[in-house]
Amino acid sequence: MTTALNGIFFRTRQGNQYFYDDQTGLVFFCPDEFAENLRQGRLETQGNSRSVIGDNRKAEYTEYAGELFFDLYRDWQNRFGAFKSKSTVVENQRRGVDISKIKNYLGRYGYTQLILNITERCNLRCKYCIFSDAYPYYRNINNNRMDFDVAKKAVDYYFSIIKENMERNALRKPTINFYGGEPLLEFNLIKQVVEYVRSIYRGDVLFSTTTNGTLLNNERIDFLIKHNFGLFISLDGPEAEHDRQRVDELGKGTFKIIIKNIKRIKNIYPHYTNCLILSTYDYGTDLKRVRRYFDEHRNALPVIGRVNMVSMHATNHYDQYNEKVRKQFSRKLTELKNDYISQMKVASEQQYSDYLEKLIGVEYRLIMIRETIRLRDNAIIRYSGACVPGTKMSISCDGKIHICEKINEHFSIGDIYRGLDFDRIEEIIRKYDASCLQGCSECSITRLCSSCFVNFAQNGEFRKSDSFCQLVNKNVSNLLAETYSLLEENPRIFSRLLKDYHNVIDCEST
Amino acid sequence: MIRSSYFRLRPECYFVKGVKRSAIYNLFAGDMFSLQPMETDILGRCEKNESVDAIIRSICVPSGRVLDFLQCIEKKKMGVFLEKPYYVEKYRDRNIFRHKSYRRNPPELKIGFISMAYQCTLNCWFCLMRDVSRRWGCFGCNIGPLREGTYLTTQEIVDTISQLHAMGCHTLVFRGGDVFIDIKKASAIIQRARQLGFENIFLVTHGIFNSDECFRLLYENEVHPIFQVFPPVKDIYEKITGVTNPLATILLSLGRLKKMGMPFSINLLSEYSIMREMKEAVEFYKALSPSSLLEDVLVSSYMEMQEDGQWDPVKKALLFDKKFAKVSASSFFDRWQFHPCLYGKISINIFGDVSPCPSLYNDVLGNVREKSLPEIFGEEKYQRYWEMSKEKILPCRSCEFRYACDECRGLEKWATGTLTEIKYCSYDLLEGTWTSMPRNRLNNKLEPER
Repeated sequence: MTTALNGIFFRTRQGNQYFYDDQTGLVFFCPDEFAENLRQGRLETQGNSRSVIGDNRKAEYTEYAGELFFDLYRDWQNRFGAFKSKSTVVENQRRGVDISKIKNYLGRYGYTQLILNITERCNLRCKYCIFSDAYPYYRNINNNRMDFDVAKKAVDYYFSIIKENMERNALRKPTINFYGGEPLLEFNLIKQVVEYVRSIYRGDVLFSTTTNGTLLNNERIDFLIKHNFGLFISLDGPEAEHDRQRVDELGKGTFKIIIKNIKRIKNIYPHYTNCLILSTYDYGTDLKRVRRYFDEHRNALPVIGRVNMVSMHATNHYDQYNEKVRKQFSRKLTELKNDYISQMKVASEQQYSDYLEKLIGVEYRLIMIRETIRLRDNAIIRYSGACVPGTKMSISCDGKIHICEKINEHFSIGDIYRGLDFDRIEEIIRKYDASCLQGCSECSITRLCSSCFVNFAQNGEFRKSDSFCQLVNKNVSNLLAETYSLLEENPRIFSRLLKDYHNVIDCEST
Repeated sequence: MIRSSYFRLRPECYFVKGVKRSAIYNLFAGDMFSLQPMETDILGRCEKNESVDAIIRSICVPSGRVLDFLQCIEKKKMGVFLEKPYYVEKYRDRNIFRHKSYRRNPPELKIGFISMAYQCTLNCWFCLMRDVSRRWGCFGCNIGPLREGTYLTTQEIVDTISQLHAMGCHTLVFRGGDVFIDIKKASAIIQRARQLGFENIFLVTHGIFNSDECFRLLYENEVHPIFQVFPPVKDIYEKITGVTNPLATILLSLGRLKKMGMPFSINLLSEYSIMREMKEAVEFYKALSPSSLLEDVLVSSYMEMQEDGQWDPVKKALLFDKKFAKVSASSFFDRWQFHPCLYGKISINIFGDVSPCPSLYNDVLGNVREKSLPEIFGEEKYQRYWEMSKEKILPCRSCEFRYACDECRGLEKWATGTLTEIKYCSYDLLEGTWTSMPRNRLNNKLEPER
């Protein structure tokens, strides 16, 4: 009888089979002989068979593999509950929501960032903007702006929380992000807030802003760099690609002005490393052309911080692309994946494409550094990758606190005058659980699911489409196969890929 | 079958390369195996997914020896032959990358050392001496730096341990001086610590309890005493402590605790002149069935010269009697990420000075009267100690034993003047040999290192 296991099998390009075990989060090599034993649930019912070593006959290898299978995998089952059938998995006891747990969790892991949405105005009209008509559940661009009093109150509240919870996380660094609209339209407010923070707090504060880059003049650049801002500038690639979507109110492309401003930064502060490019793509993007552009201009541009796909949630943005365009996009993405794999096999680190790294490598890296054995820190929300509301605090112009800058305004979790509303946080988590997580106990990739509130948020409710989980499953399965194909070809890629980012110790080099 | 296959270590076994040799760490069985240079080469290639056949063809070793070696690992349940070049994902018991990332986890404060008393009823000659250090300084008594100042009051110590508790610390070690010299103070602090809910409370003592209240306090609050003792010879005791026959009282205390069924530990301290008494002393104290027995040794700078070509016995003990503890996943990954001696520790002396460890008492990073513990702890200068790892100690970073080896940074800093060097190690990395070995470590039989 075949057993439904708590995990999934996948094959690499080389045809080798593996088993991702959702109980432990580990991936085990799984030759076909092993896989069959697992599927038949033999791990729990049979003992070891005789070992045969030293012959090259297939039958004997099968027997050897059989013995090895029991010997190797039973240990993992006994210690960590690996390879269990779905029906025997007990839902994790420690998960569950109540206000004291939420407060305790946030005290240790939360309050990572105060996001001040200082304006809802923008001088651009990017076609994929979440505040455009393509996203019906989000507000539109308008003239609302944040008063200094609101910003000051938000800062005071944030620092009071940090202080209150200092014993629970002495290493938390206050982080303030200026977001919009286009935040540089309110540059004076940014200055006021930074000066105010400096006057009330002696320690290290991380500032950052996400900007379209059009309003960066010398004065602003000097100020931002003086305060060591993380400066995230949107640039989608070469002129044609960038100007396809990122246009001003008159529909005119913005590439030239942004490049001029980036050059300004590079000229005045050539060694400033806190300035990063954010690049966005959709099905209409010619990824190969964008890659070529960033590779060719790697010395003239800041490092790429992130490459994001235009949000696919509750939008008609993608309606413009027909099947042919989608297929074309998919083909190019596959080609780039192949390029990336070749790059990892042969290229020296100087030859790496930063764009490919951020477009493709990031996803592999996330698979490699996933949490294993232990569960994720988030013990409050049973499944998915959603963070506990309060992990970030995104403040709108009117002083309401929101879960993050990406979610629509229907899910506020308090305001700066009365503080976080923990009853509301609990309610949102319960609602999310009821609407989106009910089927998760049947899922075999719960540890790898990164979906969150943003994927399901509508008018104050969460809705999950029927095909959502199917799509996530397919993506995760592909991602596992691609990651392990890469690792098979060069096992040392694990250390190499992660070393630059996480200072991994490499056991095999001295 | 074997020749045409691939050989990989099991997920729970790590191959750690040194300069010349390497080691296999079996995180399930708890063993560590030292490999010869040729074995290192073979296994290193296997771990890079070279086929066994290709390895045999490329090295000048008879194929039988290669296969014997790999089969030996296989029989020890550390490796497997596979038909195809699979990727073997290694067992990790934690997210080893998290602490390096921007949103790192809050620190895990594991153990806090609190000095409760500056005075002592004994007068041990080494206490307060700057040119003396020891191997297990943190679990022995020492009244701390010789300096003027006001002692922390009962309330100040209570406030400090409350902060430690709020920071997630679950183990406290009270130290002195004689912790019971002010029994009222000790009682208030220990009872508060118990109320706060610390999981483990230890107390370092010389063992002279001057009232029944001391026993009651330990018993009622489930405090685990660590006895700082010397070889049980009257003359030796008197010579070291400067007090007439303390041994009798100490043995009475130990006997009484045993009778009460209370667990206790022993820190047996020796020094140059009494090394020969140690073997018997160990047997004597072992017979009392302590929970653990630490063999500590005093090191003083003027005692390290060789006499007549012989190793100084203290130096010999430090260099050559090094034993590797059993390997475990948690100890392996702790050492991977941090320095096992410094991570998770904080020490507060009787003047309120905060240092990363009792043995690094000169590395004062703040004072609890001036700043809160989280404030001191959150500063970069403190974090430098917590972020110390074997990777930052020059010879250790290239040593195959780095994830199993214990060494005291307090002692090494005392000996070398820096946090990043090591003096008390006799392993020659370049040669892959121990300068002098009390036993045969370098054998071909793949016996676990201990």
